[in-house]
Amino acid sequence: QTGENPVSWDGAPESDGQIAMKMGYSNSISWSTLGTTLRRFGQLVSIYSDNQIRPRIYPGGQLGSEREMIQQAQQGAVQVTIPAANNLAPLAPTMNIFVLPYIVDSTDKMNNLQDELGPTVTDRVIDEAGVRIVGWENSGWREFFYNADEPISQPSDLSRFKMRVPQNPIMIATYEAWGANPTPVNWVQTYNALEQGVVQGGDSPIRDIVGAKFTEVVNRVTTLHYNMLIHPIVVSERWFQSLDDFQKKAVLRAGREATAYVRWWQPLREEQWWQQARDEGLMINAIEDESEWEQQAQKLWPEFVDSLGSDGQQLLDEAKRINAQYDQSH
Amino acid sequence: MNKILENLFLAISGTLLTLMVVVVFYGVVSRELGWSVAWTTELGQMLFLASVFTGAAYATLKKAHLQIGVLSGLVKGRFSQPLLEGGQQLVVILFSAAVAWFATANLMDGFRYPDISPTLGINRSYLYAIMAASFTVIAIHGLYRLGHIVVARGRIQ
Amino acid sequence: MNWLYMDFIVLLPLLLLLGVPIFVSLGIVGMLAAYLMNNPMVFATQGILNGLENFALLAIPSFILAGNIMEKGGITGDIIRIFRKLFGHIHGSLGIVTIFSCMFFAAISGSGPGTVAAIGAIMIPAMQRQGYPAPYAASVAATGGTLGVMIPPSNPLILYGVIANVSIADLFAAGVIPGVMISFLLAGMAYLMARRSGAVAKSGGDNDSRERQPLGCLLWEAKFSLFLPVLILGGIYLGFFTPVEASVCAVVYALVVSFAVYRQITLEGLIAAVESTVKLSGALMIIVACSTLFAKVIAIEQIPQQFIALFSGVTESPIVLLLIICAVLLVIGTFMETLSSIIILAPILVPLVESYGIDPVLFGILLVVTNEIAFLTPPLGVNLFVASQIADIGIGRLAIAVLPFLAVLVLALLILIFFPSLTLWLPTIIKA
Ligand code: NA
Ligand code: NA
Repeated sequence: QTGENPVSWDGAPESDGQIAMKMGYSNSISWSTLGTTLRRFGQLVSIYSDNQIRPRIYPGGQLGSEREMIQQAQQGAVQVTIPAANNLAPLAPTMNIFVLPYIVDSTDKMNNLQDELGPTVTDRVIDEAGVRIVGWENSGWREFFYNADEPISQPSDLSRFKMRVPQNPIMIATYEAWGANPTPVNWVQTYNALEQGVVQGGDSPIRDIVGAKFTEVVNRVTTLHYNMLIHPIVVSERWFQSLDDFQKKAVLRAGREATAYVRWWQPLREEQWWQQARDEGLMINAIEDESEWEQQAQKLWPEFVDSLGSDGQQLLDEAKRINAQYDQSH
Repeated sequence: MNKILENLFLAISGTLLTLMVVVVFYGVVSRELGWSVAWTTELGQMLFLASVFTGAAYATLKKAHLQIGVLSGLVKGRFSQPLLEGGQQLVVILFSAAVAWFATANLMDGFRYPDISPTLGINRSYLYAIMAASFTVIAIHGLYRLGHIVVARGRIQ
Repeated sequence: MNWLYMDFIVLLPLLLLLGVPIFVSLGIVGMLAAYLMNNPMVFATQGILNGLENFALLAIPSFILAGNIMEKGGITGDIIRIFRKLFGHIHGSLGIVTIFSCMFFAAISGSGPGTVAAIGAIMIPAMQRQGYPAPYAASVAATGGTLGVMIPPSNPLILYGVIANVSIADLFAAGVIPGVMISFLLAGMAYLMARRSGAVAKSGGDNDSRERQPLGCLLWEAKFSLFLPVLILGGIYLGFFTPVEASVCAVVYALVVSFAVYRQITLEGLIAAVESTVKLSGALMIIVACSTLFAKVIAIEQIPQQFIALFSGVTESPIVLLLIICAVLLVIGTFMETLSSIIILAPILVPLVESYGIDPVLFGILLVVTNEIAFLTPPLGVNLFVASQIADIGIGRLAIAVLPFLAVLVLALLILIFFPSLTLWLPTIIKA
């Protein structure tokens, strides 16, 4: 069964003096890899801390938006959350490294970058936002979803559409580099905007396209690999520092293992989303040759070095070095 | 003094509200003309937030805030009425002062951990300054009214 | 009973009943809860600020401003004149007109308070000027506004569809018949209550000579006023703007028509329109902000979930289950706002009702109807707040005036529970 993580910490005995670990996430319950990741993480923390830490989970944005939950983690009101990299970026500019278009072009390479660049990124993000990254979740590549008779195949095709883009300067600039018409529309309003034609499309992992019911209001999906939606598992640094060494180790180990788990699980689940999209009648095609997309988008990199936080160039160089090393060994 | 504060906050909140309308409308027009600008939603929302806090201060100054008060409607006595009103004002003062204080702490947090709005590059934490200012005014107004109640009581005796 | 429960169950009602401003009551209870939970206090102020982050809220002050400008600019008078010409001889005609205006407006607005703001800002002053009692005028507008979430588009239905994994298109289709049914029931009640309260439009009571002109003339004179709904509906359905943006476009259109066509509005009039908008929206939105903090501390304590858990597993019958759930939701709805309660409750309730073989589409509609009722029940009934501000009457009086309409909504809820096909027929037809 890949629909839900079957194991829970609910069975562990409750006792006085247990440390509370509130975990909040935004995405809706039924389709979320975020929930799966956090439940796995919570379960492992519960085990490895010898039941000294007791998780509690708050799904569906009950505690607020992703940005708000990050700030709650920073204050210590919430202990764990799992925001999208592009939503963590306004508080922790370092995360923009993962938003740069075509920073990687395969899932394996993304995993490698997370593993290798992870320690650097973690230190920087603690300083920038007061939260500690202990693990990673990949939600899948952002694919174009849209309404059209003809599929998108080259960047100039985009000029025909008003595309919904999240409010991230790098993503907006990427669309502009392709000659497109990016239109920031609030996520909640996107269904209506698509139905009424205020925008004709946008980009999201297939999970969110199906989960947010955009299948009802668009007819096509075109796959590409310019940006992968990823969510770091972040822990309140203030809370983390209040733990003893044994508990800290438990949290870090749980983060690593939850990452490994979701890397195995997510592709299995994603295949089901693709099947559902096909069943619901979406026309799906791939951009065979992405070189033109990649060239136009990568020209932006120098422009955005400054938005990667202090010493952005150094961070970018390190990412490039890690990617080059990966290419060599594969 | 009260009059000056009233007019000041009306002017600020009204201007923010008007700007909000202009900005969101500009967003619609620019999108339909094909030169989308990215910052209108974000700016519109910030203006909205700022206009609500200043507007709330204005509404309180004008005693236009909403209340239910089924019990308070029954209290009519010469002693109990001022006591009740005084109690209400105390709660208002307590809350508003707390909000003003902790919003200032949020503002300070915002300097340490900036929350940079994506398309405009503004530190969103500045909104806490507006929140703190508005609630300070609400607290001051509460003190002023409390003073009135006490003075009026004294005169009756 | 611990301190936290005392805070919620004793302190909140006490403060509200003693006449402490609503935003202060909710805010101080939320703040105290945060303290009792050992949360840093900056969490509370942050919660209040972020309560206003929802972009859809922006439509409320905009629609109120548009209504105020139309009022000052003479647009409203034109429209009312036509309504009076058409229906003036019927008891409570303006009440009925208000309900049906809300029904049509609901087709563009996804929010309840947004609908009260837009229609109420026009119709409440109009009714008052025609001699309708203020509690009647306000209660009709507050009630009509609930249709905003029932008739598509609907923000709560979108949220529910995503959480419950139900087709949003199906939900939208399912809302149409119940929405229209409720509109007619409410219009009927508006008629009855008008007779009781003596709210009858006096014919020619304000010596309006223009009203004696033939209908055609009135329609022609009012062409720019009548074009506003066309502009808004058309703009949304042709994809020029979203429902939230429509509110802002309405302001701009009202300004243009008032200044360029009617030339009635003065700078003082405009400032007065902005002043009353600032006052109203400031008083209202700060409650929304503080109620979000309150909803958050309630969510952290998982209080609604505990409430629901008390009642699950007590019956075998789907209908009894629905009756129990709806009753519980009505109680929860007194102190919780729509979107928060859907976010928190839908994930627990949907699996429960599905295990009883109840269609989640039907349940979504029932959930929205209970939320309609929640808009009208104090302490937290946002529609009441909007209407009481516009009509300038106390919430206590309004809460009583609105009771007959609440009864109608409860009746409608029962009808929908006992006749599920009313809800489920249209989506089935559309799919086939
Ligand atoms: Na609607
Ligand atoms: Na309510």
